[in-house]
Amino acid sequence: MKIIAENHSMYPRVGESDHAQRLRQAHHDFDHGAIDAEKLKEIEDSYVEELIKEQEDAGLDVVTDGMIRWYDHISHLCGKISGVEVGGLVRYFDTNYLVREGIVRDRVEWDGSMLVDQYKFAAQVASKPVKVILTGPYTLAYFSEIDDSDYASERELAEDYADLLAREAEVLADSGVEYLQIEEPMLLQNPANSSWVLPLNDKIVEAAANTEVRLATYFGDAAPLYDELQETAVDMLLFDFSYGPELFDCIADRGSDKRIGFGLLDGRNTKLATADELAEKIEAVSDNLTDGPHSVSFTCSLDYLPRDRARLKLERLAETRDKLQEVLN
Amino acid sequence: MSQEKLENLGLDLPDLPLTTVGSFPKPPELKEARKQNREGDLSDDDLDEQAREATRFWLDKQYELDYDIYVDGEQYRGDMATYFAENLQGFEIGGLVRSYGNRYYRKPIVVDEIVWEEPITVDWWRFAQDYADRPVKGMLTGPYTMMDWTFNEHYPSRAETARAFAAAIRSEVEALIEAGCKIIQIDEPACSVRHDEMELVKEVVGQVVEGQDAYFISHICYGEFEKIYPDMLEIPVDNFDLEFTNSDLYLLDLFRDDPFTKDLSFGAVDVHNHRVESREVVRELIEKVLDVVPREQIWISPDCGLKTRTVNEALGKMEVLAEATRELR
Repeated sequence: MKIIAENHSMYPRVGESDHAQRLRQAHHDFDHGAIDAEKLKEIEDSYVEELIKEQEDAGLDVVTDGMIRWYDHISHLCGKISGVEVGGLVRYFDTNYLVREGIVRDRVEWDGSMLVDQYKFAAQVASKPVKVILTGPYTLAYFSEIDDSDYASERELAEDYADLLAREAEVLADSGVEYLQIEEPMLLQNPANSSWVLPLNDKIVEAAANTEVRLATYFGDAAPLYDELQETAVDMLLFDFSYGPELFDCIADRGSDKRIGFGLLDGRNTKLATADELAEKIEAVSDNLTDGPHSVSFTCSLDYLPRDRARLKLERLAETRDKLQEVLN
Repeated sequence: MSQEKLENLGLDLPDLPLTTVGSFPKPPELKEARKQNREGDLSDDDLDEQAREATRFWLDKQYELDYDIYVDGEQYRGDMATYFAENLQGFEIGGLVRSYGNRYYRKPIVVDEIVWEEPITVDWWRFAQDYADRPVKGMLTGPYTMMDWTFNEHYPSRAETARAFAAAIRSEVEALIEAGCKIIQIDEPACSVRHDEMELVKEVVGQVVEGQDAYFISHICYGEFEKIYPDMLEIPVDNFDLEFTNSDLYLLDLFRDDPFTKDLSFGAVDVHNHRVESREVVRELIEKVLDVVPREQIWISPDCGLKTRTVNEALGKMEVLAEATRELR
């Protein structure tokens, strides 16, 4: 069985030194008209390069660009979709972290690629594959307020979001993206909607030909949906095991046709589990898994941690992978 | 019952008592002094003197505007969780963590047993009470919120962490009461986030207040109240301070179905908006709550702490709140 070390999604965009604070400073300067968009992009580019190097140096097999160009999981996409405006701050699940909601004014439509340029830059500076993240249609619809438009329901809006995200996925796949991640944390809050939410995600998977697609769920327990998730079109299920420790029993009892993303290292707390205890948990279910490659990863984005602690988590992730390779082969 | 408790404590409050939630903006010269102190260019004593001067300024304003229960304005505090972590044993003040967009804060890390060594807020409370002619509230951050807003590397669970905070905060409550404080506010803004942890909130707030001879208020804001109401009424405090202007009064609909049984500090001006409301607007808002909750249970306050406003905006909002309240007496 093969196992790789994979970053989840976001990475902290500020640190303690002036150098590590240059992106924060640049945003401040941009907001006050002291620098232009071109200068801001130049600093963002250098920050992406630095974060990718940090992940590669730590030994990760699949990296992200840290999503540092995203304001948050909702407004970065909503701001680029025709028919949606960016609105006020709302709490993101049970975190102490706020996102800007979408305000839907008209039918939502794809208005040119949202992420291809960002991916191309990251891929060009990375030596490892760069994973691209798409917020899923249901989560996006939940965090969108329907205003002055003819959508009768959240579901109807989610269906249109799915169509435009499928278009985005197709363009990303054509640009060479190898790993795509759909994030649908909202699914775990309202699991009863899985019967219509999961087919919407499958639409996106089908559009991303030749791309390995992960479905990431977090901040809730995915165990009750385990069987249904096994029936989807995605290649890998990336789980948050901190909220769903019973997922280990699901894997042990029923096995998995899908690759599993073991979101084990806690992205919400600074505490570091040892590589031994993490590896042990995966090893215990390894007989019930396919040859993979499966991933060891974080429970969620690392944007909830200070950067020095996130860096330690990256290193621990690579150590856990090494430990597993050693015991499994 | 709360009326009786107030009388027993020797507190004689007028109809619709007027108060504020706790924090006031720091005057620009105090902000500058805090910066100089951080950079080592101003002594702690000099900074304290500037904070005392700002505290006197806000106490004078509360006197001039004829408020009934004062606060010290928290001119000596930074973040409401970090302040207590800095003054208890067992913490490391962690690196910067993003709260949204380009906004960051330092999130404390529990690295050892939480120990209360000596009073934290009592000297400041005594300073304010000696200066003031009316009762000054003791202001504390509650154990559940302290737990939710810190990283934990020491205790085995969220519940154990919250209980450890509760023991420390109980010691602070005892010290405040011993100094003569009769009204103590224990803020729990995080308690509306994880609905499944409401039992823990009740338990740990109970651990702080049980058998303590004071009138307790708890401020709760920006959450999904529909999911915790009326259950939250069992949190063992006498008065809930809640935001209303920023929540479109939907709470009043909940109160129509399940009567509000505690005293209510009714948030009647929006703290997230630069514009000062008109007296008529504020008065109409208060009239609406008087239709739903018995008058003898109502106190009047802003939605939340005013520290994010400018000094003039805060004074404008306090003035209009006082005028509207007096018109209704």
